[in-house]
Order: sequence, then structure tokens, then C-alpha cells
Amino acid sequence: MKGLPRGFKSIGGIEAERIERARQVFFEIFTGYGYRLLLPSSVQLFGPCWECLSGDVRSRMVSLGTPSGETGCLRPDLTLAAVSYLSSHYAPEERPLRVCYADKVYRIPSPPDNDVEYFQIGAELLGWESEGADIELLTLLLKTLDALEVRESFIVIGDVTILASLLKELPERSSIALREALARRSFSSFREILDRAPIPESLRRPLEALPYLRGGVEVLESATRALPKDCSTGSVRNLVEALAVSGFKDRVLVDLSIARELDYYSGPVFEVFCGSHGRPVGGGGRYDGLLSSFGVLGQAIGFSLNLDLLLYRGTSPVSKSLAVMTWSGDLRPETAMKLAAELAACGVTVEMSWIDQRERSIELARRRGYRWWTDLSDGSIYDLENNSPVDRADWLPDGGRI
Amino acid sequence: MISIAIPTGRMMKECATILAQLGLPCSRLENPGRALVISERDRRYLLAKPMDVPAYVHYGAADMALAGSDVLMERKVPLVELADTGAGRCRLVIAAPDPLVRKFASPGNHLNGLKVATKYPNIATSFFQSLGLKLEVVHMHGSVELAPILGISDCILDIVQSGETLKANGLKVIQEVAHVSMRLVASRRFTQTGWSMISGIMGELKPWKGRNYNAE
Repeated sequence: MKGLPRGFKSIGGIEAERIERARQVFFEIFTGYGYRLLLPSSVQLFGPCWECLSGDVRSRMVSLGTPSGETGCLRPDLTLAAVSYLSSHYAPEERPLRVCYADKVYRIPSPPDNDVEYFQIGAELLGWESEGADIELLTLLLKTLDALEVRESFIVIGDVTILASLLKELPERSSIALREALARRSFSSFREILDRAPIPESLRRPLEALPYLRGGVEVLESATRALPKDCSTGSVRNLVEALAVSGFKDRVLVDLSIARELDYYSGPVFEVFCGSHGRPVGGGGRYDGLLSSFGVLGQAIGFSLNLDLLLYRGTSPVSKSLAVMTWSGDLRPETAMKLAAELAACGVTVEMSWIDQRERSIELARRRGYRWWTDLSDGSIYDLENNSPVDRADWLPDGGRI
Repeated sequence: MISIAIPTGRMMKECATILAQLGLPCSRLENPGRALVISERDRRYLLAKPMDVPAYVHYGAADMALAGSDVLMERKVPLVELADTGAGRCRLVIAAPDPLVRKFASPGNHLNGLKVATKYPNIATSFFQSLGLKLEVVHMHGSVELAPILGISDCILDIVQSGETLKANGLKVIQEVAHVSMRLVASRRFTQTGWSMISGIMGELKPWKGRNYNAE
């Protein structure tokens, strides 16, 4: 595309409409539960991002010089921007704090992807000292996926403290190697390291079992047998059970080997899958450690979803409102605008057609993909798919009652 | 229907052997003809160029795949690497004609600016970077051993099995970069939704044989 660097894109037409509608749906749900909007800056200081973000995101930050000579980066992560804002704008007694956002993030693409920028929607809940926060956020996340009509969506819940607890007794070298292998999701490397490293049998067995501890809620029973007593699966169990009560039983899986950005998260974590995507479209979790790095004590949980992936190729068939091309005919423009406003007031999306010839207006409507066309001068409505007039009262939402 | 991507070319037969060992129906892979999608009972095999296999899984077109660890290293696509099948073992090496072998004997800045021909530009770049060197990478798609003979490059980075091709073209191994073998990989989604099938398959692979952690 002319004038755009590689990896950047402008989005228009139906794709833009889908993204905007998804943002509206998301905001409607979260603001309805007391989350406040956040409009973060597009540029952040490079240093704090480097210190707080995980290794993978660090290596993908897009750095730049600011006009005042500081080293900045295009916002690589919205959680960091949110935490930074909340920690510096609110007093401790104002917590819990809830924010939601829908904006772009920028990362150097990892293969085989090419996009540097993509849309993210997400929410953060800071300073709530109980597991209610986890359940609240996951329930609202699942509600959002339903409202967006995302097909075949489900979440996978784990807890990074389980792996951390198993690794803490190991020699540092083995511990790091095992962490890295799981973070790369290389079970074969994980297996090789376990076979080679001097690991006590009491830890080897649960570590060997860890990649296998995934599936439905019954996995938690296997985990009780396979893991040492100090590796509690209580947080995951509470979440799974609470979500089942909320009607999401079939949409929740467990994976106790999730090693999601271990330096960043500090408790239950989750990944979101949908449609036919082979990879997660988003995820999140508890990040109390990140919060404390901003001088704020307490709990924090958040999530983000890649909106581009979520909406890709109709994964989410966001319903379109009734749309019609309105032909003004011989009417004066102000009269046509008044009549079109009446349609718009009934919830119909209108596009004005000022062309003087009726046939050309109909042809334009067909080219634009409109199913409906109306002659404002007599109020007649035509179904362009079936080439037939339709009854206006039947066609209008609620019979045209405003 | 579970989709499995298989690399076409010299490794395809070996892949069919692995699939048979795993107990998967794959008799039609013996004579696929020109078909690129082969269905057999509840399995669908997608025959893809080796370098494209990781992308098939990443984008969700395939649930699982067999892919060389050289391809996984080169493509850097984040997949779940389930197991090393042990098949197709070979090595990824740097090789060069005799005079350069001596030059490489003392690694240092004098190697900067040399040209390396390879089918693996990403691996070459990161390998030499890890040595603190900056070599010029010449990306080729085959017959890499010709490059030093024709003066296109100083050395090569390529896979070697017996070493006969290197020898026939006057090249010697300077350094080993990695061991290569065929890996069983899956998408992150399928490792969640299809784990019972995956763990069944993995139980048939040598390193995992007899291990069942979900039981007792």
C-alpha cells in the first residue's frame, strides 16, 4: 500500500466496521460492570517497558526517538500502559480500579506473521484482594466472546505458581532450562533435560507428568495424585467450578503446564482460543509482581484479545444492522435528508444516493453490496436480491415505531 | 477429522513409516500421485513443502505435523513440539573448502564479511551472530555445495547425513550447528482439544513408550 511501511496497514470497509462494532460491544459489556475507559498514549518510554515486559515481548519492541530526545517505543503492551496510568493517578483507598481499552499495540512480527500493529481489546482489575476478581474478569471475557458471536471459543486455565513451586528446589541451571523448554512449548526438550539433569526422583515424577496435566476438570484429580502437596491447584479448581456454575462448563479446559510469560504472571493464567486458529487469540492472568514493580501492593488481573485474529474471516459474524441505499429522486436535498433521518431513527443505516437517474442509483446499490434500496420520494423499498418491492411496515424494525 | 501436515520430498516415505508406527491409517500415502490432500478414515493428510509445514499448523489448517527440527529452527514458528521421533537423523553443519577450514581454525574478526551459502538464512544469521561474527548470507534453494566451487560463497551451512556429497565437492565440516531429526508437532489449540489422541500417539513413540501420566 502506497505510503505505508511494511507491516503496517490501514483498515477500511467491512473490516473496519466489524472492528468498530466489536469495540462497541466490548465496551458496552465492561462499562456496564463499572470498568472505566482508558485511552493510552501510543508511545511509551523504552526503559520501563524493557524492565517490566517478558523476554519475548522485549525482543519485539519497536523503538524510536521522541522529539525531546528520549528513547521511546511504540506501545508494545496495553496492560503496562494501564498499570502505569492507574498507579500514578489513583490513591490506594480508591482501589479496586477497573479499566478497559481497545486500541492498537505494536510489536515486531514473529514468523510467519507480518503485521507490526494490531488491535487489542482488554481489561484490568487492580487491587481486589480475593479470587472474585479472577472470576469476574473471566466471566465478562466469556460474555464478550458470546456477544461477539465468536465461534468455538474456549479458555484454558493454568497456574504458573505450580511450575515455579516445582522448579524452586532444582539447581538454577536445570530450572532455567526446564522453564525455557516449557515456555518454547518443546516437550521433547523438556523430556531430554529431565532425563539428563540431576533431579531428585520426588520432583522428576511430577515434572514428567506436568505436560500431561491438561484436559477437562478431571485433570485436577490426576494433578492431586501426580503433584506434591505444596503444589496447590485450588485457584484453578475454584475458577473452573465458578465458571461452570455461570454456565460456561463446556468452554473451560485446564492446562497446568502453561508457562505463559513466567516473569510477568504470578498466579492463575489463561489462554483464549476460537474458530480454527491454531494459536491463542489472547490470554491473561494474575500479575501481582508487575504491580509491585510500580510500587503498588495487592492483586491485579487482566486480559487482552487480538481483535484482528478474533474477527478474521468471519470468526465473529458480528450482526449488521439493516442497511439501505436511499435515492433522493426529485426531492430537494433537505427534504431527502429529513426522510432519511426518519429511517435512521428506526435503527436503519442509510447511505444517500444523489444520482439523478433511478437505474444508476440501483446499480450503485448492487455494486456496494446493498440488499435494500428505497425511493425516498414515494417511500417504496426494493429487495435487490429478489428484484421485488417489499412492504415498508414489514421491512422496518418494529414496524417503524421509533 | 484430524489434519496432519506431512513434508513432501525425500522425507515423505519416512514420515509414512512413522505414522504407521504411531498406529495411524496411512496406506494411501505410499502412492499419493499428484494429490496434495489425502483422506484416510478419520485422518486427512496435507502434503506440503517442508518449509511450509510449520505455517500450516500455526494457522490452524493442520492440527499436527511431522517437521524436521532444521525447518522448525529456520521458520521459528511457535508450535508445540511434542516429541523427537528419532527419524531422519542428520547434522546441520558449516562446511568449506580446505583453505577456509584453516581460517576458521582461529575464529575471530578476520572471518567477518565472508559469504555463507545456505537454505537456512535465519539459522545462519543467528548462528554467526552468536559467535559475534557478521557473515553475508547467500540464500539458495538447493545444491548449496556448488556455491563455494563456483565462487558464489566462501562456505556453506547445510544438512549433512553421510558426508559423501560434501566430500565429492571438496568440502570439509568446520563446525556443527545442530543435530537434526523429525519432530512431531501440534498446534497450541490441538494440544488442548485433542490431548487424549496426542497422548495416545506419543505413547507409541520410543522416548515416551509406556508412560501414562494421566492414569496413576
